[in-house]
Amino acid sequence: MDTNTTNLILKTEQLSIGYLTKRAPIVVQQNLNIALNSGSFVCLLGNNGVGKSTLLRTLSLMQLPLGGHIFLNQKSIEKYSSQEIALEISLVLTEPIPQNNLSVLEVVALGRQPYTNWIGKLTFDDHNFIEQAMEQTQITKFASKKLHELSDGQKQRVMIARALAQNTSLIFLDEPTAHLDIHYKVSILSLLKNICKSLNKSIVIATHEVSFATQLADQLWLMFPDKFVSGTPDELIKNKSLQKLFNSDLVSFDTNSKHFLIKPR
Amino acid sequence: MALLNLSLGSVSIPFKDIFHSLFGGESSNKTWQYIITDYRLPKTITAILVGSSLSISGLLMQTLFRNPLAGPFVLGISSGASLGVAFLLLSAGLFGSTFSNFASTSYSMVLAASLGAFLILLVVLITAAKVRNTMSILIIGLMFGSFTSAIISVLAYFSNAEQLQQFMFWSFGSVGNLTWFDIGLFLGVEVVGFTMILFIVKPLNSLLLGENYAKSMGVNFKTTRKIALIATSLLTGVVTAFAGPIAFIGLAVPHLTKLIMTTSNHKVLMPAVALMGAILMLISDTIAQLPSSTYTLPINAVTTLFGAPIVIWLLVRKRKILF
Repeated sequence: MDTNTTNLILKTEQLSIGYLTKRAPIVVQQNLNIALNSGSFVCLLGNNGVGKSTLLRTLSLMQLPLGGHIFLNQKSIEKYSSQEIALEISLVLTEPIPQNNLSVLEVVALGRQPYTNWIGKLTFDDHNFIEQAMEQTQITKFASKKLHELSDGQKQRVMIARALAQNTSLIFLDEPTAHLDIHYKVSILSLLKNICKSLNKSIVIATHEVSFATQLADQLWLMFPDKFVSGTPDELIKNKSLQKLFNSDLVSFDTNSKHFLIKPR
Repeated sequence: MALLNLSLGSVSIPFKDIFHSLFGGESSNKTWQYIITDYRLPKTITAILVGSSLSISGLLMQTLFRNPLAGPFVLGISSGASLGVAFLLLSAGLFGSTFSNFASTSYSMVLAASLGAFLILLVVLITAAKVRNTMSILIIGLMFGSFTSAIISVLAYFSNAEQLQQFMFWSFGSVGNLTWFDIGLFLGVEVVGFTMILFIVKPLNSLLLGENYAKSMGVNFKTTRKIALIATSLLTGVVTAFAGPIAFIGLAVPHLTKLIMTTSNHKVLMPAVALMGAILMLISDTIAQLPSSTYTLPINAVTTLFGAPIVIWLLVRKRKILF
């Protein structure tokens, strides 16, 4: 085995994703051959409805693939139980959290569930992980506050802390910076990048922040309606893939600023 | 404080009765003892069992469906039981007097209620296994409820006044008239139900973040849902069979407890809700006994008259419903 494959944490072969309906499966994307190295920071870009969330859900086995294979640590993902998956992959979802009375500490502690016993008793180790996760995301100071008392940006940090407490080698985040102001956007994204590098975790983010993504990501995954392209931001700017991603008469990609700009009329 | 309340609730009933029997001239020790051991004590225990079962079921359903309006009866169980009893009592006239005599015994009523509850439950569980969306189960349960009450209306239309009255009395609910054997059975079912629930306390906590987050933390959602539905059905089924459709407790006690405890952690909430349910049921029963010793108010009316204002007051004051 060469170094390239040992570094590989997640791989797909001819994966097709979508939904099963009674009549016929709705294929959102097909023939996906994706490779994810451990310790890399990946941003997944694409139009609304192109299948970013579906891909993340499929890769984490929240929904079944329509075809093809997914390998997690060189082992077919279907051989993992939901419990074992939870030890490898943690998620931060875009869906709103239902109103509840859980404290920040309790939410972060839920991340330890895959490790705790049947009644969910936290051990010394568990408490260490929880504390660490809260420190990394700088939420220790409001640990005893209720989740519903926090701002959107703080809530997002709590959910990330919960994912960190889960201590998985892979973290998928679906639009973690939606609804946040520019300061929080950058702070969340650089936090994730830091975590990725300091803890050697692989992080995949579905996002619409093209500009930040090109500046921060090790790799970009671009989802077109009919194809999937991956590469470093520079490569993708050079071969004009990024430019074609939002093929619209309203915006154009500016290579210098690495940003989409409104086309002058 | 809760324990004090509990002891007051349960002890005050026999004490009142002691005084009553003393002043009524029947102060002989045997009667005194008979009333307490064979009537008062079973009733107190029944009230505790009913209160805790319904409240825990309510909490379970509210978390599972993430809906504050969910209660133990959303699955249509009480409607099923009502349907069973309605069939027994209201159709008795059609089958002549022998059947009518059989119908009015308390055991046949328990049997009919259990059968009705079980049947509706079976239908709901089978549908639930096919339906992926949790909210749909909630609506299906409510639909079955409406469906059965429609059938009961039709039955009521064709029955006579006496039968109707008997059915009405059943639907008022009662925690009395249970033998020690009944209570043993009741307790057995409750222990089974509570043990099942104990095993889903952990997944219930992660369900507070939503179905998908729970799944991502390794929760087997389908199994959890199945256990929750079966446990609820067992608990509410047995309550309805023995005590009739007791309203309000299952819906309101979880809210009351959450407003007081300000936590969502089920490890804390479960015992708190059970205790609260038991206390509220005991207080309601005590109030139901108050007007006089010979007449008792329908317990269903008391739980609601007494509980609804408290819940409204708490909600107005706190302004926020949290799970």
